[in-house]
Amino acid sequence: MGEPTASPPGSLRPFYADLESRPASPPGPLAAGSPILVAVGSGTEALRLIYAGFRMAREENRPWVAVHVEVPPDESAEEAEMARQWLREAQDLGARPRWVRAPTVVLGLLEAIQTEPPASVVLGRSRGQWPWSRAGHSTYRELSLRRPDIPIRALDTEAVAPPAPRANWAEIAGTAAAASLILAAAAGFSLILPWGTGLAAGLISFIPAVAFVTYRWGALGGAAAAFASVLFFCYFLASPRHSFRVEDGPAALVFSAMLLATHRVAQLVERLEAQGKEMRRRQAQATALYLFGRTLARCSRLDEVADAVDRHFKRNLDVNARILVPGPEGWQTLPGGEEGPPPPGLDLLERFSKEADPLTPLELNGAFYLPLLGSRQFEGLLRLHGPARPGAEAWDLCQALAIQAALCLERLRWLTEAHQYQVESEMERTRNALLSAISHDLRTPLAAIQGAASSLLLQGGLPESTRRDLLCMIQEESTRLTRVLSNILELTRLESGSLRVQKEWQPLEEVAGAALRRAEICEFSDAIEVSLSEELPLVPLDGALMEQVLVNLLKNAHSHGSRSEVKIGAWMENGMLEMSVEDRGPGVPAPLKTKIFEKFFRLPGSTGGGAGLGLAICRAIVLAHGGKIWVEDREGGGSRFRVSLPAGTPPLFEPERAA
Amino acid sequence: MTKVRILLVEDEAAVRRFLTPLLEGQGYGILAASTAAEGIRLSRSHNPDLVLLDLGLPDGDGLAVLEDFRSWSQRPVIVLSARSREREKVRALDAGADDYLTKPFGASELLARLRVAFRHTALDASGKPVFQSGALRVDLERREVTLSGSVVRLTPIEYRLLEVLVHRAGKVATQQQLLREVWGLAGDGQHHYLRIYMAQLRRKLETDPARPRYFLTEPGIGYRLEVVD
Repeated sequence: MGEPTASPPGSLRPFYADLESRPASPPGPLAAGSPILVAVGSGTEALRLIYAGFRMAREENRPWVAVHVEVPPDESAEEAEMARQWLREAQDLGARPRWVRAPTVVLGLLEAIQTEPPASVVLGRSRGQWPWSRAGHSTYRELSLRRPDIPIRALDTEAVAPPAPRANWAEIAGTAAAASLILAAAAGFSLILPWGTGLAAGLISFIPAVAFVTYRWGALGGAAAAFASVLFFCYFLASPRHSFRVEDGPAALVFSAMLLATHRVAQLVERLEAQGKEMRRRQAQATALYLFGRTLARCSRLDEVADAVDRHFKRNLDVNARILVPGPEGWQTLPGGEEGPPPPGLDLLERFSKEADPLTPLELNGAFYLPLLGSRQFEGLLRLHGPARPGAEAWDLCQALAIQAALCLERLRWLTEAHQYQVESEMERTRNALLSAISHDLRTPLAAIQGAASSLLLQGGLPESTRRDLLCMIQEESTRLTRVLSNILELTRLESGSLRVQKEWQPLEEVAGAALRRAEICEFSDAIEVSLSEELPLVPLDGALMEQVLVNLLKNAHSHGSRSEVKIGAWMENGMLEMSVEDRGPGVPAPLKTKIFEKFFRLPGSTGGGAGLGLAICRAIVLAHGGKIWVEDREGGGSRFRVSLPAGTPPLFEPERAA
Repeated sequence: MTKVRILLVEDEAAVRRFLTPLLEGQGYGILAASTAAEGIRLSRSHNPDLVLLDLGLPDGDGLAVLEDFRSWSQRPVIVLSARSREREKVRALDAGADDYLTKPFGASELLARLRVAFRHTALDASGKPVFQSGALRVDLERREVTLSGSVVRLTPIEYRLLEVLVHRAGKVATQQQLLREVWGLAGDGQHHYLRIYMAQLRRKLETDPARPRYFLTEPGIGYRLEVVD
């Protein structure tokens, strides 16, 4: 297995092109009117927003626009990359992507609204943050204040909180102060309750406070809050007031019940919180898998897959990932470059992982290896190494990503093989066409030679003129055979690419002269008119090949046109060397003007050998020079074959002083 | 008179079969070898007057035979080569072969080449150092060039180029040989100088420079100054 050496043929080209150049597919047959504007951030909650936008657009039969506002100093390259990916997803679902740069998100959205007034705006609003730092909220509120004319829909999303940095002392003191404030508020509230409503009333104000503290600061905070609230209650509210003494039994019962109740609430809240966290984690994993899958679907080369793997593993698991693939020259590490040869024992590893449980990671020299197993065979290994060993929950994600990567590698391998088959079958087809053309075009002259020679041998007493005739025929047919053979060989060599064009600076008149001389030898040079422009500079040509082109064109003109009025001309135009060979023949009908340059194609009603290869050879040679060849109608009847070649700048020539 | 002896080094029986009666009919004596080793052996033992050497021999490069022959003989060597193998021909010509023939060739082509090969330099033909081909006349002693009687003025380099071609009249001269003898250059990249000067010669000495009679181009190989009657 190796990477595809060339991009796959047109039909297998990757489906996704650049962001800007792809046309957006409209959601419905009559999606018209003002669009729905969906504000997309860089976090994982964007996916929900995109789906919501898509559904809304479809329901209301409107186009929709996905906009991302980049706030330059705040946004890292990673986040920008994520945002681009989200925009691409939205585009796949029919949105038009937009990218706006602005000092704040609100200003960016206002600008987007300004340039293209939408029917409605969809925003994300994250919960679980302090009220005064809830970004979604403030954006939502500010936007609705500034543009009350446009309906704004806020989707509540669970923002996946970024990994919490280590709390510093200031933060702990701050949260302790906040907690006390909450309790104090609850306490104040219980104090203003009219005296005599009973101790139970006091509980009402404390339980929500304790629940909130647990939610924010965990079980420990909740327990402390519960204890503190009982103390407060005992000191300030229960009789005797302003003392910690517990007087009667029922009061003690109430206190313990209160402690229990608040503690229980704290426990429940904590469990809820844990479940919520687990759900968010799963959500993040699912999104990561989804994104990875989509990225892989766009990969068409091995190095792209390796890059995607590296990026996604680093982003989601903070670990370095490398793909190792077996190749004909040994193991190859991708993305390559920095690592040396694979560690020893790798083949042992391969054998082991083939036999062992495919989901078991193996440890070797401080790195972990996961086998990449496709549907039928072993595609390679995934090597992970990082500062810390990934946790247990992370392994699920690792395995899921590894499976996707393996399938992608398998797909790429099949792509290469399919391409290979295509190329081979094309070659096979050409070979077959060649063989059938050969057999016909060689058999005909050979038959003539055979016939003439055997006649000469059999029949004694033939008149001298007849003998000469037969011998002439043998010579002519042999010449034709030679031409057919050399044409076939030439074309094969040109097409297989084994012939290299050796360009040298030539005066065209020299090449034309050589071609004319060959034409003379083959006896069709009568009345060829030559008109080469006086000022032709040196042009970069392969002399031998270009001579071939001119000879073929002259031969064509001679055999298809009438034998008179063949004209060959050359001139410079716009930095290109232009050549023409004209005849007064029947001309080439319009629909066949490109077909005649194809292999084995002959005009209906044409005679002569050559297997229809002459023009195909001309085209191959001209293309190899970077030029163009075509045929036009000649004024007054006949055809004009035209060749246009790039001329370049000839080297400097210092003429000597005159004799 | 002793017969002029030609050594034919050719592995294909069919070619030997048609060449031998043809050449013998012209009055030449023929020696035939079918491998390079045999060719070397026969050349050393019989000292032929001319060697017809096929470059596509089974047991090695025809070039080896050429190099061996050239190490002790200056007799003409004509190489036979398949079409489109220009590089092979150029290598052989630069290594000392006098001329070439492209297979398949006809009888008249071969005999013409042999005639040219056996002709010694223009100096020996009539004792006078004068070259004549059609309307072109070059007096090497007086360094005078005339076309149909009228004198043509050439620059020093043009004359030198003409002189080199005249010395090899009728035979092909590779680009490399011409560059070396006229400019003393051995490297690539100066070929365009050669072409420009050839074009100038054609312009001065040919009636139709695009259809030269005397200064023929052999694309991929070099030039030939044709001797016409």
